[in-house]
Amino acid sequence: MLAVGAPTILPTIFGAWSVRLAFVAALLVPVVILRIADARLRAAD
Amino acid sequence: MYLGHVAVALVLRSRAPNVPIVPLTLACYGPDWIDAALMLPTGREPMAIYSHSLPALVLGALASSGLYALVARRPGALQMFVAWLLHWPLDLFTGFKPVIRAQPQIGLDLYHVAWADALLESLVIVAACVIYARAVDSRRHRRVFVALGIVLVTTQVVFDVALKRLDSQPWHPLLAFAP
Repeated sequence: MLAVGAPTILPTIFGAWSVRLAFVAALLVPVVILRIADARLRAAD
Repeated sequence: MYLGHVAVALVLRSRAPNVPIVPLTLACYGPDWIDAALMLPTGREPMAIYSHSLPALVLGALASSGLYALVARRPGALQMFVAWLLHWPLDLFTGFKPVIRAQPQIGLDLYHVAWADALLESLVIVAACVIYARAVDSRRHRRVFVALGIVLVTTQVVFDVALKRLDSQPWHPLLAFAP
């Protein structure tokens, strides 16, 4: 749903900035995922 | 390449567990962060020469490792350098990247074959998770690595589905050029 909806909804809300915002958000995703996984690994130690 | 870059961070981390994961992940996406900063006044494409060309890549890798060494004052500068450098060869599979100048750009252009990109990046992610899991006590951490692999692969597939919806260009790989 996210994959289908986001390309339509984002430009409606943010206009020309939607590409830039989506790009920065996409770059933050792996940082957040690996940070959480790292915390879980440390917690399991 | 999108989440396939994470594989570099995971493999480097498996060899150097004391290197902090956040700066390492940021370095893996270093050229893209340069793009993100430069694309604010204009579009992304004209900025590739300043972020993804080989001279820009080497300068960025040196700057990131130097900055890390100055700020963090702990081991890991070499990993930052390698993480930044490996961005370019991975990106060659999925898009077009400049070599020395802005043109010509070369690449396999797999972003325009969504299933192939999803498959390639998923394989790279799974391989990296296995390498990392083997480097630590994998019995205790198995659940975390399985969850990590599932989250990364799912996110990659969602990304490819979204990309396919936006994509109107045909696949056009370009690995050689005439002078």
